[in-house]
Amino acid sequence: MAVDQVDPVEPAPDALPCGRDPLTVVDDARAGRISAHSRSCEYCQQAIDEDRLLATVREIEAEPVPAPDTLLPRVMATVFAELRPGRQIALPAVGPSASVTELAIVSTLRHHLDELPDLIVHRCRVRAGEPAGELRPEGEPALVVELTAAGAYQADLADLADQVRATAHRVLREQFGFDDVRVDVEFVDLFTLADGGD
Amino acid sequence: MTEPSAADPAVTDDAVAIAAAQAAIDTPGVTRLVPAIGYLIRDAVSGLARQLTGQQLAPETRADPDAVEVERVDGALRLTIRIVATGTPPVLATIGAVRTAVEQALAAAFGLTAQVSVLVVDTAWEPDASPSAR
Repeated sequence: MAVDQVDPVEPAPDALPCGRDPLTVVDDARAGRISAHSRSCEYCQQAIDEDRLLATVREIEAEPVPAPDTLLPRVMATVFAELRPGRQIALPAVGPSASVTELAIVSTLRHHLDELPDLIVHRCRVRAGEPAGELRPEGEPALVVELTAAGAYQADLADLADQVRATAHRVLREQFGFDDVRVDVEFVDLFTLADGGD
Repeated sequence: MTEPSAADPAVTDDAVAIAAAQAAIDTPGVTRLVPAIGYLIRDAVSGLARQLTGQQLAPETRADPDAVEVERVDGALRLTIRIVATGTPPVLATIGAVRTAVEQALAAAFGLTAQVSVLVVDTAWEPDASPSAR
């Protein structure tokens, strides 16, 4: 079988208008050998400048871009705050111009309830009732707190539940101005003080 | 947030946000300001673009203006500021103090009157702020 066609060969770059081979000019410049012609020839200089620019771009491209140390903590703090806050609850003492997220209320409650020595809070949820007025059914509180917790084996659970309710009512009133609150406490576990209490 | 505010065409919303953020973070009971997630993504992209192009990064600041949402509704200026409160002083008092501080700052700096809303995104209790320690 006769072979009539030959794969096209990549042609060498065209010579510069001054007649020099651009690859040779650039190679010489990289090696620090710039001829007298190349120093004064605008075409050779242009080829050398383009090669230097390309080398600079490649260096920049190869450099890792260091993120500021503060970026990740800031992103994560915001992501968590964005993902976990739950609904916004208007504060009754101020009105719609002041509101808190469910997360803020839960964080505050947990902080104070953790101080009770006979209690370990497992789950803490809050939900706002309808705004005061026609929409809220009679007897429905402005805020409902639902707690599940473990109590100390030696503790009187009824008394402990009263302490939990009193603490929650006081904190919600002092911190957020909530007066009309219902606190549901459910003990789901017991622990001995050696296990969980101090 | 680059258009002039309705109340004074010489004051941009960015300037209003910066002044409000500074007043808010200086208020006792505020531990930090929380920008909305959209602003944070925009900042991250902008910061990387600045690094790639060799520009100087904007300095980190606790008085983050991205935590301040500026709205103009029927000519009225409305601000919503997102904060994390320490709980000491109480959150309710902190909210009131933030509103007062921001309103005074905007009046002093630009002669503007604004309706200021505060959203407490979270509380961050410091270890020595335990109830038994107080």
